[in-house]
Amino acid sequence: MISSQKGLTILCILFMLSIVFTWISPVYAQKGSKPTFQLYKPMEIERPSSVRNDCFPYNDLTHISIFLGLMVLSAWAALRKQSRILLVLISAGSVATLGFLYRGCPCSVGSIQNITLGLVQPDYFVPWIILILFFTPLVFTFFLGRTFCGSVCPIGALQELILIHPIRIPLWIDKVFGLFRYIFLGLAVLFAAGGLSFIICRYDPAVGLFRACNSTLGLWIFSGILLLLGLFVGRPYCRFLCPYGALLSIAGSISIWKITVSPGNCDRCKLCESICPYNAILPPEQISDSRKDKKEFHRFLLAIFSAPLLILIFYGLGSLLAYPLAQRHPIVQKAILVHAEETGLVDKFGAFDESLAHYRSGVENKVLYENAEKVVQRFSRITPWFGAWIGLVFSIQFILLAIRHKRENYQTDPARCFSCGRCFWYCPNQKGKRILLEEDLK
Amino acid sequence: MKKESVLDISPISNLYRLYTVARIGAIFSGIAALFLLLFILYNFYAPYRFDRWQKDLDHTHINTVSAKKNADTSANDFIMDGDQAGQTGSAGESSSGSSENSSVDSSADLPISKFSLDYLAFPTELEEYVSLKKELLSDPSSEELKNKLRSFDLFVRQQYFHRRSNTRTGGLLLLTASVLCFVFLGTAKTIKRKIPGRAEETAQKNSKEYSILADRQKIFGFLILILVLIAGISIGSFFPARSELELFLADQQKADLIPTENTTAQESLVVSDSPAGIKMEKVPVSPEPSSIAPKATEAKGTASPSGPSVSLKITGPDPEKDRAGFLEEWKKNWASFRGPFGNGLTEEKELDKNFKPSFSYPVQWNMETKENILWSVKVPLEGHNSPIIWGDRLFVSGGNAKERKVFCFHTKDGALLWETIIPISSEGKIQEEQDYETGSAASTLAADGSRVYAIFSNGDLAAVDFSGKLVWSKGFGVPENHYGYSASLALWFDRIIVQIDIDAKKGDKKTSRLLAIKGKDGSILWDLARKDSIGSWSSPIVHSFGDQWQLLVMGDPFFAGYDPENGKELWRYTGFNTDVAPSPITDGKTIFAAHTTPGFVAFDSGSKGEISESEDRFWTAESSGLPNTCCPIQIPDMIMLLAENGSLTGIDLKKKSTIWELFVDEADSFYASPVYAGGKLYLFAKTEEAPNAYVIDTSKLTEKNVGKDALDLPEIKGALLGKYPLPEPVSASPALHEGKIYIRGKSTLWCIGSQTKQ
Repeated sequence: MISSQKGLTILCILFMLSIVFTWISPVYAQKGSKPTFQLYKPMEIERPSSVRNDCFPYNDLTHISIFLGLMVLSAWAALRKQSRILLVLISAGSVATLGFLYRGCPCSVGSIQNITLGLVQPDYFVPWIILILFFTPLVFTFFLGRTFCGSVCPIGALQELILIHPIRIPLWIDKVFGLFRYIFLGLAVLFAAGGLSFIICRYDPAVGLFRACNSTLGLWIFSGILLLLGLFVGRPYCRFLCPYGALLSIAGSISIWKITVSPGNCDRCKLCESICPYNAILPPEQISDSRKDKKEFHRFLLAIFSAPLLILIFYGLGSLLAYPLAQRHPIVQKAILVHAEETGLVDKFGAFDESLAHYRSGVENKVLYENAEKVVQRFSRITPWFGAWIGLVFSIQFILLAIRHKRENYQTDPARCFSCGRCFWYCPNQKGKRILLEEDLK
Repeated sequence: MKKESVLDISPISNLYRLYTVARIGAIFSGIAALFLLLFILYNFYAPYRFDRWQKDLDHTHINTVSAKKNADTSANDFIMDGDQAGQTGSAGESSSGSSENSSVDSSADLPISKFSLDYLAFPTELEEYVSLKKELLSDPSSEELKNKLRSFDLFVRQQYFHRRSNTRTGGLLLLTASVLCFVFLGTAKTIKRKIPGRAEETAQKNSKEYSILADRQKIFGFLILILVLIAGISIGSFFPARSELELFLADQQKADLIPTENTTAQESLVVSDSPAGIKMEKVPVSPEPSSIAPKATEAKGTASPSGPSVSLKITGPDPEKDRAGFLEEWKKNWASFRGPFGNGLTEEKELDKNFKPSFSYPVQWNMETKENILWSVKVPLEGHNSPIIWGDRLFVSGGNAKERKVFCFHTKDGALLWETIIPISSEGKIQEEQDYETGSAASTLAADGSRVYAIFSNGDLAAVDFSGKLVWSKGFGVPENHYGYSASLALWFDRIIVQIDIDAKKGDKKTSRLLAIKGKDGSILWDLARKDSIGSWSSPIVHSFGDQWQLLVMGDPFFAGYDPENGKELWRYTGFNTDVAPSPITDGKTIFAAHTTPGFVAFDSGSKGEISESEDRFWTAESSGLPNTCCPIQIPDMIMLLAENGSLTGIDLKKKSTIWELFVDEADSFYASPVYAGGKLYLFAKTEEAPNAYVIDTSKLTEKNVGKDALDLPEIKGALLGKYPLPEPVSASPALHEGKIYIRGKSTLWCIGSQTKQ
């Protein structure tokens, strides 16, 4: 069995090698090799100069290199070094590079939509950078916990940096609102699969900040509210809205290695639990009463057996969303307007920009109506699965509510822990961290 | 109990100094961030200062008007403009300008712009924009309005980009201040961080707070609430969406019930009342439209009574393969000069006295009050060609020295569906001097349900499909004649007939030509050189005479009949000369033609070879008001001739002689040929000042009523049903279609129809 320290070292070496490999990889070969016929003369093509400052290479390769580098550093700082200061510096670096320099795009959070579209549309080619952004944090989380969220994700890092006066919210609120992430995840996949829009990007609170003014007023207000909230409530977007965080929670709950607060035996001083703003430290649990165990067991069985029913009910309810969502599709909207004009419901032809554009396109009405029908049918196929997903999420929550775990010591909840490192500063066994700080400043 | 600090900070230590600096830095950067935020918000909400624009505009206007006054001005110009400026706005911001200029004072009426939530979007919805654009649309040739709009647009753009620049700078500064604030705050917080309470108390309190057993009921309850909410949203949004979508989907499913093997085109037809069939590209059109239409009407169920199809690719039966079917559709439309029969009638049965027409046409309208004026639109380019109609599409062309276009309007509301630029061919180089009274686009178009064809004064012929796409074009060279080219196109099944009569010069190889062009691809089917013919402005007419079709071509010096299939000359009458412009007419038995020289002629359609005036089949009628431009019109038992000066002559067909002459109006002159429907004759004058339209009850124009004394029309009791002022002179012959009259003026297109029916 490989120890967590050795395993982390191996992973770090592997990813550093992957960065090097990426530079010299056949990616360059994709641009085409020289033809071999004799008369070939390479033609000099004048490439337009980059719109941005040429002193920094803004290409995808650099982006992914920085991303992977930050991932490795973050994992090392959280698990190996257990240094909060390092994690803060990495967060600042992430915000500066992945956030402001690369304007937060592409990002792992939005990559869900690209992956969905790639699965649904055969002719949509998912860029390799998206694949890396999507899978790398999942792999890291599966092995090492949510180190991506802690300091690499620019949105999360930003929220981490602005958390000045953390206020703990009750756990039940945390759990209830935390489910919205899963609903948002389902909606994002649904909208992307249906060809409506990329709602994660549309409602990304960091868009206005990282892209400097390319945002609507509504989104600015939303961002402002989240940032203001983020001064006191730790990571509101990550905990309640981030769809990628929902995936990482699932991966994190089964992670092989995870952050441990105390390097040695836990003293049960409860300081870590008190200081964690994310309710990510699980206290010890003793289960003793056999009579209560029976009730718990019945609740558990009820949750298990009601799960399929709940999923089925929401599968049916999800199908009701087909028409409302199809109505939002631009092709269906256009077809409805053209049909209204055709049947005389609207007096004037070409009364709408959409209908006028349709008439001028030369596309026949019947073709438009056929396309609209296809859209409606597509939504009729996928919305029930969204409903089933909601049913599944809630069923699992009900099951988890019926389950109690026995714990001897304080542990991090890998599904909720963002690897921020706050607990390192207060654990009495992390003597090096606390003494280091005092000694540095004396 | 007071929390212990992690670090022991004494007031004189470096740590304390660092803490103090951090605190002060946080306060200052926070205040700076707040001010910057307020600045950015002010940038969003500050209204545009239109008073400044108005001042600049008025200053420019005063200088322009002063210059004009020095040259040749009237005082009224300035005063009127000032009044107009005062009408542009409503109460709002007041100007601080001087009171010397009334226009500056009018800036007090300029409204404060409404702020758009999407501040980044260019404010195209400003009231001033909308009102200026509306003004310009109503008078597109006004240079003053154009300049005003340009200056306003420039002003707004300057302000808009200035704001964006300010916002960007402010945003960057705000970001910097915010970052500094957070850094300082974080530093201060870290230095002053405290141990979180007494472990035991906190632990006991927290263990109760965070015990999942205690909170499980709350979590469960809220989860159920959220589930109910989601279910409610799903159900609530389903029903309204279903009602809208299913209505649309059900119609499509019903349309799908119609077999698609042969009649997909007609299926689209069935959702409309338009007589034109609609063809899908992949499927041939049904040869039996009448059998399909009723079935599809049943399937449709909710067809709107006025709902013509909007599919642009309207096509009729293929004229190459189904002549009978095409002819049926052709007769239902007004798709070439003077209608389907080239005689100004919508139905040939109109020649029967007892015939009751399918549609009744209005006899009363008022251009000022818009009574029975269904719509009027501006045609972007001028042209004297008459409107033509196929289904619910109206086509005209327009042109000037720089460009030529074909326009398509919807007959229901006059909406401009598309306009297509016709490229100038190398043969038809732009005529540099356009002195011709006929203009660039005097020839009326022709349509066959798939394409519309247009020819221009430079000899360029083009075919455009019903979606506005140019299919083909070719040039025949600029026809040289002294008034400019104006012969309209004729259409015979799959081909277009083009008459090009030119003033041939001695030694010049160019001659007048008569061509048949294939509509589908523009290939020349036959090309007949009419060497003896010189410049004329008449249009060819195609008509059936029993089983035979004849192409009737008036010219100088002869009037001839040809076989449209191969261009073979069938007969000829030599006699017309001197600026021949009117086109002939026929009722399928007798051919009629009239011009100032030699006058009115008529002969049987079975004539062959050279027609002599001495033959029995040939007869003439005298008139002092012979037409030089207007075409004759046949009504039951009578032919009428309209001269340019307003003289109207009635020729009895039974007596074969003129029975009366009268004057329509001494003040009005006419170029447009009359049209006839339901016993009413419609005339439209081309007088420059105060032209009129006339509606005449032809049943009152008998020999007995009119006599031979050349009376004026109003003197004949009951004959003049209406005399209606026209806003513009009308030179183009009107079009009649399904109870509506379509008139083209100098720059406007009108649709006259009964508003009660609408």
